[in-house]
Amino acid sequence: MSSALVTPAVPVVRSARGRFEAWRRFRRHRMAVLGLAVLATIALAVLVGPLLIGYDSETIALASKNQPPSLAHLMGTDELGRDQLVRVLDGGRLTLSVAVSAVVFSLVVGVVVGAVAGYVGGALDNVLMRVVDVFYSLPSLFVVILLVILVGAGFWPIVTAIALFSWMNTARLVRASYLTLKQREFVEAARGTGVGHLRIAVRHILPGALGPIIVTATLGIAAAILSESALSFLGLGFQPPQATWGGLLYEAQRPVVSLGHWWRGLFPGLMIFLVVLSVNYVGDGLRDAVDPKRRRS
Amino acid sequence: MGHRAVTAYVIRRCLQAIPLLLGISVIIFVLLQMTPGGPMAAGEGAATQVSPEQIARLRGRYGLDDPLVVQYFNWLGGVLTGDWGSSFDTGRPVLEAIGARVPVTLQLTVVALVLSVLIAVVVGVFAASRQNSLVDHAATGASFIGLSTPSFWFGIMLLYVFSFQLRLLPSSGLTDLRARHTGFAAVLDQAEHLILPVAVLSLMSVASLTRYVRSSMIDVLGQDYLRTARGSGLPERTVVLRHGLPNAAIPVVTVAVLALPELFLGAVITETIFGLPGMGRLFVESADLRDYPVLLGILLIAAVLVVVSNLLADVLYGRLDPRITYV
Amino acid sequence: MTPLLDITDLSIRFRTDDGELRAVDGVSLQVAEGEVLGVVGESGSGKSVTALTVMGLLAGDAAVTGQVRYRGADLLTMDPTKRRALCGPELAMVYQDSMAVLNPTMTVGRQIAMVVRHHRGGTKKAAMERAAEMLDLVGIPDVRARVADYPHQFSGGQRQRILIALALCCEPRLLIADEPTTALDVTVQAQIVELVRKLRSELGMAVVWVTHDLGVLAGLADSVAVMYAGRVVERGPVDTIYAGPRHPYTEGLLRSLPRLDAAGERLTAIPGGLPDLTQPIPGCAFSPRCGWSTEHCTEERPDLHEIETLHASACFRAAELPAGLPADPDEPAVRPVEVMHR
Repeated sequence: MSSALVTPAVPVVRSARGRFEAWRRFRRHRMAVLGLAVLATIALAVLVGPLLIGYDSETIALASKNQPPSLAHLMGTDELGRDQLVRVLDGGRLTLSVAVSAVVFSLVVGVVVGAVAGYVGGALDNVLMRVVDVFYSLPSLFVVILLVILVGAGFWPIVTAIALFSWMNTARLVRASYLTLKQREFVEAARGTGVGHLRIAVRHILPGALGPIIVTATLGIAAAILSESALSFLGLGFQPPQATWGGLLYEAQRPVVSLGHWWRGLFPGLMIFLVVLSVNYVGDGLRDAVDPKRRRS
Repeated sequence: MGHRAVTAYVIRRCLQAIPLLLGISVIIFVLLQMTPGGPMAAGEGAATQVSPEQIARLRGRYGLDDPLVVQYFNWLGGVLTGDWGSSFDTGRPVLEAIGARVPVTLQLTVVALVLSVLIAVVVGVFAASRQNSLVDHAATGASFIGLSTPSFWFGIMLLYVFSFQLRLLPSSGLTDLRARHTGFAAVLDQAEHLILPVAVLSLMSVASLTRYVRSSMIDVLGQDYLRTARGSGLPERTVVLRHGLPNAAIPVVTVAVLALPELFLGAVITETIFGLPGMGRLFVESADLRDYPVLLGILLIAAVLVVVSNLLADVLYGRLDPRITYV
Repeated sequence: MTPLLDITDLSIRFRTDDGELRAVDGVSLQVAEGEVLGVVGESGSGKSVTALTVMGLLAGDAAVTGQVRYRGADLLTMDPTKRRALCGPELAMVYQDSMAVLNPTMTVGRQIAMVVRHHRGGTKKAAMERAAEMLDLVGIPDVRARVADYPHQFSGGQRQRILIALALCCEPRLLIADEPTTALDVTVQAQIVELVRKLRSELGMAVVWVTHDLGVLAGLADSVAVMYAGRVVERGPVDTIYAGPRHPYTEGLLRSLPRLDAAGERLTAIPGGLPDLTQPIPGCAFSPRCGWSTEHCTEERPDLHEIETLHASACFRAAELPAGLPADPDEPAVRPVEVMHR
């Protein structure tokens, strides 16, 4: 169609105008904007919140143990009298750090594998894609658990284990983008002027593949949070007194189910839920923003 | 298409899965090498202290001084002939230990899958046929919420409401050990014990399948053949259910089959929360005990299940869509 | 006598990203019992949208005004269930074949039998018999074996025949055919036209044949309505229009047809394209492409007016147009202009 001639065949996110367009489309997605606001609030809260509250997460105060939410303790206290709000905020910082680190790590792996497969092609591409298939077939939660108990629970082992089994989507997307983009004129033109392969791959093709990568990365944060939480919930993640949201839920099981201390379970889970829901909405909004052809139904 | 073409296709797809299975086996072998004691300890079935002399003797016996490739093929041969080692904890052969836990997980998974598909089809079709209505928005929102709810949190909160507060449903186990029900009462008792676990396990798959059914149905509803059916004077109900649904169902069946390993994974959480003696619970118990042979065995089974589900989804897709021919 | 189908002042608007699009703008058409009306125009002229509106198959977001009376009853205000029930035994439509017009996962026999059974009742077996009979009637060979085949197992021409069988299985009083021969090669095209002509005389139904190809209508249609940019620009008996078009657009369409009696004569396509229907058009929508256009044409919109009995044109200069095609082929009836669409 003639529209292909009118609109430049440049990927959306490359030009400043394109970026503005993407932002405009994102803003139209009300839930995504709301999700972004919720995420920003939570991020701010876990970063500076603990400093503003007069308790710290390790102070034991048996006199005020097992209290339901009150003005003094907005999320109640646990069986050692620790303030639950501070524990939730501290745990959130750990949860979010693990998730963000794991996503960054898996992005690096995914982008490198995908770019190499897509750009080099041929037998190497074939082999790499079979490796992706193998990783897809392995049940990630099981392998993550296994790796963590083999290496020992800690920040980096957990991040690595999660990242090691979540890079495949990125790799496939990046590969697909590379396969289509490397046929495009501007890449041909760059190659014609004698620009090196690495430079073409990084400077000319990668920006064009950025849209889908951003979307996958965003949704990857939700998946990473759920992975880490599941691991901690099974008691196989961080060891006390460090507790992520999943860890807090692990500790909360008996108090909630046998003693009815509902606040112990409600708040950490609510945080996971809010973050994952927001991330999913933001991801949805981003997908529409970077790919205007995909119409929301 | 004839049966022979189908059989040939299935065989070919199975053959194509072999490299994948080999790849999986390599990864599991690598993990096995990482375990303390490695394959030797797994074979010996004991995590007790061993002296250096014993280790040297065992190294020879288990061929640990052979090149890794030889070791790999020896190990693979063992796996293929049913020798998966023995549990560190109980000394039972791994396959036997896992086998004892399969029925619970199977029951849970199958019930959850059937339930998920039923709910997803009803809600998804209804939402799609009233696209952008209040019902549709509610269904879409609910499935988004379902996808974002961590199952373990959902499980704990359900237990709090139904077991602690309302005292309606049991909080753990598969049967009421004190009551010793028989006959129909026993079935009822077990159903009562399964309600919450199934609800928790299905949450994710109901949400994702509903989204899938809805979008597949919306896609089909926009197809020209539905316009043809309407233009022939068929009532809307017939158009949607007889012409639309079978077409929308084809991709959904595929996704439902692929949900099987997902549910299997989810059973780890569910069985832990509700104290059900299934494979998932076995995995967590073995993780606590560092019972590597059992862990690797379950991992292998889960991976094979993924591969088999993919295969099944492919074959089913071909069976359901007459346009697909097996060449 | 009331016509079988009486469309009065029909307008159809769609909301688009570029504003409101007037797909159909004040169209009036009549079809008598047993008559064959040809509706001609380029894609985008509003002919298919009109056809779908009559069938009640337009997507929900269109704003429709005017009247569509079928045997005296206005279809646009009729209860949707009652209206749907007319489809099949009263109104039926033959769609242009594509892979998606028939249900890909249901055998063609069942697709027809389902419609038969819905309207006429009876056993599944009887309905299947009827389906086979219809497929035989439209010329599908080896019907017994092929009722159980799926749409993709037939050729394009055969699928077009199956669509005709589906439309005719309940013997409708009015058949609307939307470009049923466009995707087919000339031989098959002729066979399909012949088939419809034969079935029409056997069943005595009225036909509205929508096409962009004026040539197909010769020998098939009784009268013709030419549409341009959502309006009827000329209508009249087919022979009259062939012999003496009274609108430059019709003339252009006729000149773009290959003629058997004038071998070697140059074919002229009408240059340019349809105007942007989201923008207001003050004068005649065809004027930018018209060789006869004057200032008057760009300022005021000509309405359809009768120039002789049964023959109407929406051109200010209708009377000046020569009877018959211009003798001098080098004298262009239409001149090239800039492309209007954005």
